[in-house]
Amino acid sequence: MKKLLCLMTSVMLLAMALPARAANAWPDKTITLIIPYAAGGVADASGRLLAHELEKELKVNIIAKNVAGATGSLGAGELAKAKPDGYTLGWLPPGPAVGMPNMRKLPYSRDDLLPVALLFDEKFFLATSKKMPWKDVNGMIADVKANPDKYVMGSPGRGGAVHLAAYTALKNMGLKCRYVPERSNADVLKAIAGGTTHFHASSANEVKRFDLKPLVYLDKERSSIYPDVPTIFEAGYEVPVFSNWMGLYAPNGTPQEIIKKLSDAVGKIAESPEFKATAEKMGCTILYLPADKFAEFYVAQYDLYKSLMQELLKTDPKK
Amino acid sequence: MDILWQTCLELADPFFLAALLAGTAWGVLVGALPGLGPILAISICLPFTYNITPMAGIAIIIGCYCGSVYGGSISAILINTPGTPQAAATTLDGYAMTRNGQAGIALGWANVASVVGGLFSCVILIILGPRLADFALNFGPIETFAMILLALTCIIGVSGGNIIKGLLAGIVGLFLAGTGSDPLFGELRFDYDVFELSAGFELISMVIGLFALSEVLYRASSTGSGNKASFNDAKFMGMRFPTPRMIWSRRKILLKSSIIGTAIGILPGTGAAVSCFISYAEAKRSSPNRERMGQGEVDGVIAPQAADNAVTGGALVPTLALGLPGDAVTAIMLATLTIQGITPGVRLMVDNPVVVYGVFVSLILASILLIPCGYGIARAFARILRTPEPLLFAGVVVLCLIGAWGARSNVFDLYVAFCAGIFGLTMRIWGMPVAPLVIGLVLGKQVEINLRQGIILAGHDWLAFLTYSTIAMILFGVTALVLVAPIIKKWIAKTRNRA
Repeated sequence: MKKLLCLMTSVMLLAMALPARAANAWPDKTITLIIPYAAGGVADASGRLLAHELEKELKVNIIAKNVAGATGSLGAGELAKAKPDGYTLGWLPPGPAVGMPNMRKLPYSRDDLLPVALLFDEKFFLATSKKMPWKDVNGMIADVKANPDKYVMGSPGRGGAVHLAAYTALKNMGLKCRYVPERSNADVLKAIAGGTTHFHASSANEVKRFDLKPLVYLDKERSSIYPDVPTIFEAGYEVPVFSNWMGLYAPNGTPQEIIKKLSDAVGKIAESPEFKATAEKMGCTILYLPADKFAEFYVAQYDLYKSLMQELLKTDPKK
Repeated sequence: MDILWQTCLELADPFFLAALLAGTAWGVLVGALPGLGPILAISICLPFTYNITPMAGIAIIIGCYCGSVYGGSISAILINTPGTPQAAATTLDGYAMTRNGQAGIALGWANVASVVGGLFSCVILIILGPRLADFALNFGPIETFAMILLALTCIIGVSGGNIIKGLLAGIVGLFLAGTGSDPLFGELRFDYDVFELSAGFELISMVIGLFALSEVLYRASSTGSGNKASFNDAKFMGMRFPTPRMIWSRRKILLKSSIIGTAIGILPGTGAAVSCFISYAEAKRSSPNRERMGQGEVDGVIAPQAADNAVTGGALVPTLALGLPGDAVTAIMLATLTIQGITPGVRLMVDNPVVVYGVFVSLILASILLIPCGYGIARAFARILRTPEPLLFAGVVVLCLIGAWGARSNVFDLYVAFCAGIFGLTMRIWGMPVAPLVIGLVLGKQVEINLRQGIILAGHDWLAFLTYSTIAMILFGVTALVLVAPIIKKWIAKTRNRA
C-alpha cells in the first residue's frame, strides 16, 4: 500500500512537473520565421538578419520562410493560423498588420497577431528626384499649388505606411496630386528616376542610395542623417506621423513566458554592438520596444490607420 | 586600371572559383529538374552566402542564376517538361528533335546558344551598362505597355498553325492572370471568396501543371500506342556539340536572339519567359528554315536558349547601374549585398568598383562553365532516362509538386498545379496550343498595370495616351505593322495573280 502511494505521488509530481518543463524547454526544435514577402526585398533582408541573430541568441535553428502574396496578407494569414506554441513567428511591417485589416475583410484580424517585440523603425522624408527644379519645400508648394494635378505621387500598393505618409503630407499641405500605385518600392523609385512620378515617402537609406532630394522630414524632430532638411511641422503643417516599423509577432495564444523570452532575446540583440553596426550598414534604424509597450503601440497605430482608411478608400485615382 | 588588377587578385582566390563552379553546377542541376527553378536554387544557397566574402557570395548566386536558367532546357528537350518556365519555348522544337532521334545534338545546340547569349549580354553589360540603364528609364508605363502589346502579338507566332485556338488560349491566359488583387487598388476579382486566390495564381505552379503534369498524364493516357519517343534508346549517350563551322553558319540567329534577350532583360516589365517566346516567334518569322520550325529545327532551339541566357546580363544592367532589380533573382542578389554591408544604389560603381567588376567576371566565367556543367548533367540524365518510364515519371511528378509548393510555401499551389495539369491535358486533346496561354499568363498583370498607370498619366485622354512619347508611338506603329503585314502581303499576292 505504501509503495503504491509512493508510486502514485511520484507519478503525480512528475506529471505536474512536465508541463512546466515543456515551457522551460522552449526552444528545443527549429523555429520558423514567416516573412510575408518574396526573397530580395527590404523586409526579407532585415528578417533574415534577425533570424540569423536570434539563432545565436536562442541556440536553435531558425528558418526564414517566404510566403509572398497580396501585399503581405498571405503571410500574415498563415501566421495567424499557425499553432501558438512558440515555434512559428512572423516578421511584419505595418501594412499587413494594421493597414490591410482596416481595408477589407481578411481571415485574420488585429487580435490574431500578438506583438512580441518592435525592432526597426524608419521615418520618412517626402522626397523627389534631383532633376526637379524646386530648391526647397516652399518652392515646391508654390509650384504644385499653381499646377494642380500636374504632379504625381507614387507608392507601392494602397494602405501601407509609404502611401499614407505621402498622402497625409500632401493633403495637409493643401496640394492636389495624382496618385499612381506601383507594385513595389523599386518600381516607384524607377518611376521617379524616369520622371513619371514626382513624390515618394522615402527612408533616409533610399534617399542616399538612389540620389533623391529630400524636401521635408515627416517627423517632429529633424533627422540626424540629413539635419539640413526641415521637418514638415517647421514648415507650418501638421501631420500624423507614419513610419515603417517592423516587428516580431506570434500567433494569438502563444504562452506569455515564451513571449517574454523572445522579447528579452530581441532586446539583447538590439543592444549588441555588432548588430548595431550591421543594421547601420544595411541602413535600418533600430528602435526596440518590448512586448507590452509594443502591444500598446500596435493598438495605437491600428486606430491611426483606421481613422484614415475610410477617407482613403474613397480616393479615386482620377483626382 | 589598378581597380581591375585588384579585382583580378581578389578573384584569383581558389575559393571564389570553387564557389562559382559549385554554384553553376548546382544551378544547372536544379534548373534541369522540372519544377525547381532559379529562385529555389538561390534561396537554398542564401544561408551559405552570409558567412563568406561578398565576392564568393556573388559568385554562388550568379553561378546559380546562369546555370538554372540554362538547365531548364535539358529536361525540356529530353522529356518535354520545361525545367523552368522560360524553357517552355525550348520544348517546341527541342522535344521534336528528341523524337527524331537527335536529342544529343539538340542538347549541344542549346548549350552553345546559352553560352553565346550569356557572353553577349555580359559584353553589352560591361561596355554599355550605365548608358543603357539611363535609356531604359525612359520606359515609363505607356512605353512598357506598347512593348508588351508588341510581345502579345508573338502569340500568333507560337500558335502552331491554328491562330484562332492560339488567340483563345492567350485570352484565357490573360483572364487567369487577372485573378486576385487588382494590381492598382487591391480590390479582389475572380477570387470567389477563396483567400488563397487573393494573390492570384502562381506562375510556376501553373506552368508546372500545364506542361509537366499534363505531359505525364498524356503519356499515361497513351501508353501502348507506341507513337512516342522511347528514351530507352541506347543511342542517346549524352550531349553532342555542334562543330564550329555549324555554329558560324547560324551566327545571324544567335546574334539576333542574344540582342532580343539582352534588350528585354534591360527593359522593365517583361522577363525571361517572354523573351524566349519573342525570340522564337521572331525566328519563325525570319529564319530561312522556318517551314521546319515546330518539327525539330535547330533554329527553334537556338533562338529561345540564346535569349534566355542573354536576359541574365540584361537584368543586371539596372541592378548594377541604378540599384533597382531587373527581376526576382537580381532582387535577391541586391539583398545579399545589402546584408553583407554593401549598399547597392546609383553609386555602386563609384563606392564598390571591385564588386561590380566581380559580377562581370562571375558572369563571364559562369557562362563558360555552362559547357562542362551542362555536359556532365546531361550525361547523368542519360543514365537516369534508362529507368523504366513509369518510375521516371513518378519521380518527375514528385519533383514537380515540390516545385509547385516551394514557390510560395503554399499548399494551395499544389491544387492549382493539379487542376492546371488536367486542364493542360484537355488542351492537348483538343489541339489547343499551350504556349499562348503561358504568354497571356505571364504578361497579363504587366499589361494591366502599365495600361492603367498610363491612363492616369495621360489624364484619361486616349489621344494623349497614344501620342505620349516617341518611343511609345514607334512601338505602337511596329505592332500595327506586324499585325497588318501578313494581310497586306496576301492582298498584294492576290492582285498580282489577277494581273
